[in-house]
Amino acid sequence: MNEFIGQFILESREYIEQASAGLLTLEREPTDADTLDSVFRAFHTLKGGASIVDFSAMEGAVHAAEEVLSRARAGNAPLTRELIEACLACLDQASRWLDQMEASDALPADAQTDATRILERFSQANRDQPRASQIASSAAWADALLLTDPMLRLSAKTALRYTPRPASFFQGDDPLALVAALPGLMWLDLEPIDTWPMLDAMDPFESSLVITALTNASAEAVTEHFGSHLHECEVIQIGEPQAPADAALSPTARKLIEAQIALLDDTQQEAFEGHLRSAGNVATNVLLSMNDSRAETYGAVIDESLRRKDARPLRERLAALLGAIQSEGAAQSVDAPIPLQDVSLARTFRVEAERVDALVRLTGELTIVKNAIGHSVQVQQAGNGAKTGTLKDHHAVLDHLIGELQRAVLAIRVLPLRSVLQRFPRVVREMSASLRKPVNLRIEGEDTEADKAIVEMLFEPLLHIVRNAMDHGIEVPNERERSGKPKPASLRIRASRHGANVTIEVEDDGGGVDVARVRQLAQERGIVSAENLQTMAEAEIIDLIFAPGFSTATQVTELSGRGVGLDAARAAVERVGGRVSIDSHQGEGTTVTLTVPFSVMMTRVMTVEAGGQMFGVPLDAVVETIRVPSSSIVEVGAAKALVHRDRTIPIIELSKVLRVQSPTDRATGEATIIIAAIAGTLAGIQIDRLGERMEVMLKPLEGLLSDVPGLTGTTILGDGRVLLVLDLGGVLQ
Amino acid sequence: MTIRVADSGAVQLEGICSVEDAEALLQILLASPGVSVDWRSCEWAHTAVIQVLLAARIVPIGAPTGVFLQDHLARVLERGAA
Repeated sequence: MNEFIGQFILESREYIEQASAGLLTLEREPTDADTLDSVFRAFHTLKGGASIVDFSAMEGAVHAAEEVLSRARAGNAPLTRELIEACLACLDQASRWLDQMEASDALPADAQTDATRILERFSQANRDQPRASQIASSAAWADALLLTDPMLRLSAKTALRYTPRPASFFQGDDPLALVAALPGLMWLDLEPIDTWPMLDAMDPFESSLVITALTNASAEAVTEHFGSHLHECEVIQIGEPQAPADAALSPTARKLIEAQIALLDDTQQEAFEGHLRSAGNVATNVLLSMNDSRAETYGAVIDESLRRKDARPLRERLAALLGAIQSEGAAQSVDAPIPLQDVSLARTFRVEAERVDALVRLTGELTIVKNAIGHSVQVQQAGNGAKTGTLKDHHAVLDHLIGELQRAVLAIRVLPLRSVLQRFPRVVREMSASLRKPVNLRIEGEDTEADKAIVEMLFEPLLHIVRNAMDHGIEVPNERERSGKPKPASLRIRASRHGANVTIEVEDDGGGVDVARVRQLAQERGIVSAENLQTMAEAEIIDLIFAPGFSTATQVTELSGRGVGLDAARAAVERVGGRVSIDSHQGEGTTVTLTVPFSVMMTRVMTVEAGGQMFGVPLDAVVETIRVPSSSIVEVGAAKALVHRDRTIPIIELSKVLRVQSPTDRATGEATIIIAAIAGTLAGIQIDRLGERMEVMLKPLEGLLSDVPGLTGTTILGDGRVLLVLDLGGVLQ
Repeated sequence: MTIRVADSGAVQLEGICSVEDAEALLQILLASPGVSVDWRSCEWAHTAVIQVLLAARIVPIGAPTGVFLQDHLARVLERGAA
């Protein structure tokens, strides 16, 4: 992908997120000035980016939103719900464009049509809106005025268009005298309202002109000055001029400028003029797109460079723009104070995923080496005990260092869940509107962190669960009222860290799962036989709503789709080694809990032997391991079960399920059982022998293995053997 | 009278030109198309006077004494006549 487009997409997505979150806050607190500023800045930067990549449709659409926000900032036009929605629609459209750009590596083809729709939406929302005062924040005439002289733009605060009424001369007014006395007058122009009349048809006592003016006084001062003439005036408050570019160059702009410097450094004599002009033009365009008046001066610099046949004047100018004045031979100043802004910027940075992945791979290899040394220690110990001391020490040090390295590497990939959770206010708001179910959403624990891969995969499963809660869990307002609940339902998404796991709970105070109905549907749809349903506990029946092909909705709605949601959600969570459980109480509400590992890469496994082969079992699923007399395992029909701690636990033999050789050590009269909790249910897995516990880097399944059910990944053991790590949920199915 | 026709034939704007002067100026311009206007002694001109100059696309001769005329209106008239 084109580097600039890639950068543009990346940045734009961040600004879209920032703006969306801010708009939702503004919906609740329309007067929150800080949020308004932040949203405005996000739109402004989006527009700048679109302009740099020459995406005029997006630039136009985003500009319309920026205008609305700018008026709201100036206190001239309140941000109505319609306007907020138009702004959100604009962001949605921008998101879609970015998706298209990412897919096709080019600007979207029919973007202008979409942009026009957004613009129409804004003009409709604007029409519906009462004008709060005479002061506005923008108008085409004022924009044109400011374009006449960029220097004016830097200091002018207010633009004025004064159309004296035709009879004003007659009635004793001298409009120009009024304008001349304007505080801070900087510039003015006179134009005919229509065209100047022919002299012989002219009434000299009828005013037929429009006076436009710029002042550096505030809009309030100007309106006060005009007093009773205010109704003949349009007063425009001009937005803050752009900050000087050395403080405000966006990363994209910076990259563009850097590329031009590289071009100049690399310039051969024959291509000199072309390269020079091209570099100058790019710099000018970058600055123009940022409304930076320094753009005006590049022509002269290019001319100077051409005259001297020396790229240095332009190069130095560009370098200065980057804030890195490195004229040849001059030492770089080292004691210049670091601007505060830079310090805060350094707190977050982007790392290319490939680089991190490479580090992750490296630590993976180191782990293998560590395991190999561990293995040789064992071999040594078995044979010659003399040299084991140093080897053991080395192993301990290596173990320690690798642990640190691993933690450091994993930390690079850690993200707060905010990036996922902050999408929900928006989603819930839309669902709430379309289902006509008012909902108070509370989000807690946004700062909880998890590995990037985990954070990114969480959105879809959470979305399915939230949709299900909105659709089926939460009752319609009338029904809620009948059951004595407040009309607006409460929905809470709460994230928290528990050791190596992160849990996300989605809790609603809706009607809860209708157990009888689930039982009936499960039978009707052949998900569970009537016989089995008899023996199932209520919790197990509730859990059936996650079964493939299950939907308790009598009506298939647009939101929940066809019931593929919940089972897809569970599958997605289990794919990364997580679990989904549900706790529901009829009439009181439902809590769905997602438990996912903090990181996908480190997994604690226990090796077990079954049928002469070794397998890994993820420890987080293991509740306990027991040895029981073989006789205590009883046969129940075709299945086996064990009564343990007063509970009947179904037992399966791993070797049989995996169709490896039959167990070999039955002679001992004892059975080794792993008791595991799978989706809230206990199950026993009979194995031949327990191995050791270890922390491994789990590699995802590839190639032939990728379709094998019951496997979650592989890892390499100290002696070089590949260990297949089981997915117990899959094994038990 | 702040508007008069000088011996040279040029129209002189002097001192403070009032709204009534617009009528007089217009009559002179209608009577003598192409006549030049000299505002070097002009302190202030009413909007109506300036409007006549603009409609006639006249750029007055010299720099007026009035600061506002000089700083702002001279440029407007030059541009209007262009």
